[in-house]
Amino acid sequence: MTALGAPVKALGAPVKALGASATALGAAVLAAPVVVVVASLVEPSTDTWSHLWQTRLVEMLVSTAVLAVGVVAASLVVGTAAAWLVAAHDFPGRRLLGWLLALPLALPGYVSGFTWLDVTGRQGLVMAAVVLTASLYPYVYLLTLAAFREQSARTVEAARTLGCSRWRAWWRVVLPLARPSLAAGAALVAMEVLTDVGTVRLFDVTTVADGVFRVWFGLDDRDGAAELASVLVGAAVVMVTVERLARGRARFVQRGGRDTGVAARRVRGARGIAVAAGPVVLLLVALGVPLVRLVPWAWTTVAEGQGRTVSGGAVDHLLDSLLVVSLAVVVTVVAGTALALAGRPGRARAARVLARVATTGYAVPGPVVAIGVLVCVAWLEAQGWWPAGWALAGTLGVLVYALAVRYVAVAHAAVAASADKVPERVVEAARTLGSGPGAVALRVELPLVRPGVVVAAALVGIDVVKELPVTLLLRPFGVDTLPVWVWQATSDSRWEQAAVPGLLVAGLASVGVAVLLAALARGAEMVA
Amino acid sequence: MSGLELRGVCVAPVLTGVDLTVADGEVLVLVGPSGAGKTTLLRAVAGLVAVSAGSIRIGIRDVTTEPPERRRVGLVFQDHALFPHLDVAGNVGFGVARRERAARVTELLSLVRLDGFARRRPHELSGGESQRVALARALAPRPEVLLLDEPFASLDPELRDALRREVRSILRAAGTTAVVVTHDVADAEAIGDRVVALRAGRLVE
Amino acid sequence: MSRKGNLVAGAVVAVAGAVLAACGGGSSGDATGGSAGQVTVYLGRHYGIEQVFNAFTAETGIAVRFTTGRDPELRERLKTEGKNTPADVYLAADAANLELAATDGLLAPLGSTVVTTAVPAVLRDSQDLWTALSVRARTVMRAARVPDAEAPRSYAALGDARWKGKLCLRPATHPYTQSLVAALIADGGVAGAERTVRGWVANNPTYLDSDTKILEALADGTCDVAVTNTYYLLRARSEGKDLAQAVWITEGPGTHVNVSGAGIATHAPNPAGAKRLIEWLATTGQRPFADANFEEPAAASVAPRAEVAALGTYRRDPIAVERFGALQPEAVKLLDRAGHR
Repeated sequence: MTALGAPVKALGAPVKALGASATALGAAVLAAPVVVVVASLVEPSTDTWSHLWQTRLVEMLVSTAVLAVGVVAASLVVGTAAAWLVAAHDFPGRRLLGWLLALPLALPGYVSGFTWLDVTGRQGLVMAAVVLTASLYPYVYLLTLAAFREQSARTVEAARTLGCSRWRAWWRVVLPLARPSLAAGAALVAMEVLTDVGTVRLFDVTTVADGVFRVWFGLDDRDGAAELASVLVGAAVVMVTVERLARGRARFVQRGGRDTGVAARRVRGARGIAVAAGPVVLLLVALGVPLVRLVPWAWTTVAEGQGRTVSGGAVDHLLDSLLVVSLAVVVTVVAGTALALAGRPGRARAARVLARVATTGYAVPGPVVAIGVLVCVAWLEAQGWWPAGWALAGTLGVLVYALAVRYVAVAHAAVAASADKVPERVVEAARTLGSGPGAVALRVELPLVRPGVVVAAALVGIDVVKELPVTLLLRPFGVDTLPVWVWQATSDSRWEQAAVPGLLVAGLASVGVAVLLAALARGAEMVA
Repeated sequence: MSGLELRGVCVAPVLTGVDLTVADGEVLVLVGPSGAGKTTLLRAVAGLVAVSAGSIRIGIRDVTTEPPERRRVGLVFQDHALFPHLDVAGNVGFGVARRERAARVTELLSLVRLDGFARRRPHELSGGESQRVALARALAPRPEVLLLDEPFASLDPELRDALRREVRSILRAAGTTAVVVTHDVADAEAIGDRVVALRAGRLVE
Repeated sequence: MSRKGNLVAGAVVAVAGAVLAACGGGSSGDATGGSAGQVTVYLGRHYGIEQVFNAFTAETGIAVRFTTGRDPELRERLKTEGKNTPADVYLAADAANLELAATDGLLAPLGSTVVTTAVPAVLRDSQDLWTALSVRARTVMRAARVPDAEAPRSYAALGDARWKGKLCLRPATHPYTQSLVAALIADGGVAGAERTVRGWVANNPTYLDSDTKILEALADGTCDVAVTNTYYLLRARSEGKDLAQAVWITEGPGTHVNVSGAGIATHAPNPAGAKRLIEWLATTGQRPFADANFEEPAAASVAPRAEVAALGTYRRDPIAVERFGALQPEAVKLLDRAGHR
């Protein structure tokens, strides 16, 4: 009997079953908190809903919709334009600019938000939209840039020979071919807008996510809050469907070969400056303004010896952040990879459905995920399976679990994008050579999705570095990350003291951005 | 005793009851227009596609419900489908037990006349080299049946000619039961012991 | 290469698993071990608190470890942790939160005559489930350019047309606003409170989610009048910034006050230590606790720090602060109905 190594041969069928059920169990574990949250819809809190209906519900829905649409549209325009400028033109400083344009992703909205508030003093929907766009457009930018790089230069050349001017070739060929990436970027941006609370609060905008907290803490109605959160889950489902439709069913596989990437045209002199001006202005808005506030504040705070908190200095917080980030990234990426591989076209349909359910955590605001997790953990502890004295709640494990629930969608999407590029034939070839599904996953799919795994790790890392509400709620004693420091400063109305941790968060997240850029440059993709 | 036997095999929508017997060590060539279901038939034998009716027997075993990895069928894909993350040796030895992997790889690379190519990467290979690696890879685990899907489709004429003769002698030397699918009649005559045609889902001699 | 990849992946998973397990076990040791020498506090407010706890430890030898968070979120965590909570003390910055924690069964009776003697009854829970530790007034603030004689002397007076476009308020999402409105409801009924709030809203207030920003808005001319806690004013003054002037409420029941307070968690691992800490905070620790944040001590017999006393005496709304908790949902609904953002 043809076989692989002796150990795998011995395991055979049990391994296959174990692998499948482990993935199923993992998906169930990841989905549980969200299910718990949505389940509260079974017995709706009619009081709360009628109150909401009479007061803020319409405003919440409208604000959320307007904000989501506005920020997505603005991010698409800004991100695509930036990607086009960088991909299609060769001007002095192009590489540096290309890198800098992704950097605003590293600055959380709740940090750049208060700098803007300090500079302009203006609130409202428009300001909130501007700040959110400034910190989210890099998703579109990175995805579109990667898409432009992936396309064959031949396609544009073909269009040119058929009579298209350079501009029209872009508009009619390059951009449509990049549609999947644009749709994916829009989806990422939309999800972040839907679940944002920190930034919109600063600008006095009431979204559904904000409403969740008003109901939860203001009306002291946890079930009502969970029900409102379910609205967001519903919106996310709608959005994912729209995204799939927008992407179209074609799988635009292009054999790049040696000439990948749309050709860049050299622009010099005045034209060069004109072309570079756009991104520079964008950066001034997205990065310049916040830094102008943050850096002097940080300087004075440190000079006055206030660069510390109750839990220690910058190094302590940095180490805590690193601890949480590394654990969360490992767990989330492993989970996302398992889900992505299990959900491949050749596999059981149930696995794909399960994967979709397990990734809904991304649509739920952080604290709601945290409460869902706490409820699940409390239930687990109540079952008495753990030895007495072994408390789960308040441990690092629970925090990491909650972060995994929240962000596995991102890891899954990134790995699935790579998995989609694995030709089905190659998988089939492995099957005919004697490898069962598990062995195929290990020996063929896993190595081939490695670029996606790197992207997944970078994206999840960036998200977790910036993450606040879940960490604030679930962190164990002595683990105070940098965002927690930011919160402690801002909750006490001391914005200046939030500058040092704010800059450190941005610095740490920049590492993730750099890794992401490098991986994308090497041909990885961000979302399927 | 090896050999391949299909009885009343149906795969919706293309195959509507195929009966086929290939004797042990025989090389059967399957011709027919595109869309007739030749590739589907191969994939059904390999287990990559489920049959809605009928049975498939390889040697003395009924493999109709077996998954591909248990059937001991080798398949050379039309586009070769080499593993991009492994070198030539890694590709060829993929289906071979670790114990005898190194020896078998050397043996097969010799057979297909690619000695010294062990460390090359798939993207560094020409069309003909890549096809020979695919062939070596499929043969390495000593399959009971070998299936070749349009093996010479992507090659230029001189290479085609040379390769036809090579593949023929390799198959003879290995003594493996084989089914070759092609739309080129010249291939059929050069390689096969017997030629059958597949038309609209059924076989015609 | 694929094998190496597998090994790496496997190693990573194994390490992660081990770390998680270790962290799980380790933390639980801390959580439930609850040695007599340590008290665990879930802390809503945190400014300057570590010196206070250090003083407690120096005097009693009992260590204090604490985690900070938003009051209601900590309450939620306490609720879900149930019997396995590591918390001994819940220390919140708002009476409503304390009362809600009590109603949810999260606090155990203090059973301390020390506390009942030191702190007046209106500042304690009637079921003895928590006590205030410091008091702060939330009153009208006027910009320096507004003459004192013209300043509003009641919360309702903030609704005068004179202050249209010149009023700054904290949003309805903040517990301070909610408790203020809860007090208004307790004093004047829902109808009266709603009239007052609608009056505010009719003046097109600027909503700023920070008392400090509100004070700065008073200073730079964005608003002429506002409502903030007095300690923000004093804090700014201690930093050399004289942003506004406090105006005590002389009409109606008086100036609204809120409290920071604490209670013993129902499933506290170290209830004796918790009681010790709260008693200390209610007596010896009163000055450090209140002084750290320019607040007034809850204990009647302890004088506030000089800056606080310099604000002058005022008439405190005599309502029992525990009533804010039960009225909070009503207050929030009222704020929503009135259009207060």
